[in-house]
Amino acid sequence: MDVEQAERWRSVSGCELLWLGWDDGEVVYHGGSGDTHFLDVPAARVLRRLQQSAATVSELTPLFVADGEQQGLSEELLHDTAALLIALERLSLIERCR
Amino acid sequence: MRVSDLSSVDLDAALRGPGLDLLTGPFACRIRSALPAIAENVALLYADCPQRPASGFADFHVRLAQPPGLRRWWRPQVQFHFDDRVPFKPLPFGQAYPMMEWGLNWCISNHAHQYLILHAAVVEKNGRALIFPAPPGSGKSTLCAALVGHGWRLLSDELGLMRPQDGHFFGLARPINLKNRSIDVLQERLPQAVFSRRFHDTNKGTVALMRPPPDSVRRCDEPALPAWIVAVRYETGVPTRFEPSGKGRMFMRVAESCFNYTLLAQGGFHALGRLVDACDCFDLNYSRLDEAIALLDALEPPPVSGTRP
Repeated sequence: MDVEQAERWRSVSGCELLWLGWDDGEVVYHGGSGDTHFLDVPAARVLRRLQQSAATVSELTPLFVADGEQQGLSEELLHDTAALLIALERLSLIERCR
Repeated sequence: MRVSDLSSVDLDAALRGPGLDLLTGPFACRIRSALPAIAENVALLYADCPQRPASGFADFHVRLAQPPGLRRWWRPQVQFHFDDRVPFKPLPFGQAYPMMEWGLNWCISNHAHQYLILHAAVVEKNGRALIFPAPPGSGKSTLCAALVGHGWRLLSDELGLMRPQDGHFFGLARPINLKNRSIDVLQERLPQAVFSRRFHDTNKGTVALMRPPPDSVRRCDEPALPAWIVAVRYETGVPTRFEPSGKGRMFMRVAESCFNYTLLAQGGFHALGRLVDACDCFDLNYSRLDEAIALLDALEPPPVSGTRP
């Protein structure tokens, strides 16, 4: 895994993100690249959270759990959240705090 | 005046001389060509289309002609000229007319950026538009032609023009481009419709064009409010499957089908968002036209209000 537990993440600085949402997820327009991305509900939650403030993977993992499901920090959930962060990073929607 | 008001001599003289302005929806397309195939097919397929002698402003200045040199005689070819530029490689001479149609599509999709331009077939009933965004080969033109023969009004089989300011769709009512097996299907289904001859060995296979119904041409300036987006897919032998589609995913599919979504930037994003908001969205897989038509005929339009500010 390319994500350190203590590493902090934030949404990209200096670029406006525009949002539209429906039941199956949200679309986000990246003002810097001009690209539009579809995010499912957990991914949209994580990105919106990172727009508010930086966070670590373990702080973000609870957002990855569907409403009503039991929350926890299992290795599998941490792994899924880390994979999501890397995917969002590749889309230039989030970045690591330096 | 309509194209059918011109004698073949006058039509030919206009095309060979200063040009003929075809008024297709919001565009004036000035066509010039000395090629008999252009005159014959314009007379056949644009019979009901408003026209005027070439004068004043035209949106697109188009000319079809043979290239100079040996190619006039040896494996003859045809070139498409736009504003006296040649944007494409030449095609075999026998494909002059399809080249005019494809070239006009290119003119609109590359220049009419006052609209959000979807690669889509669009038909209308009771003022509400049904939009089929889909790649080539999906069966959208076949279904579009069948619906038009079943009482729906044709806006376009290829280019959905949405005005971003108010979400209205505008029609072109140009000939419907049919390919391969769908030509037989539609000719059998719509014996009263007018078709061009078949053009073989094009890069889309065998193509033929169907004249738009007179009512669609006459009402071409009437905009329609979008009501449904249907992602359609024809597959031989599959049972009909028609089910609601998530709007977020449909947004992405429509965005991918747009010619100028990226170019319109934030304006395109918001316009497309309003379009998806305003519509009920579905996936339709079909192999039987009658079943598909019955399902689409039965659709109830969503209320006009309810779009995002």
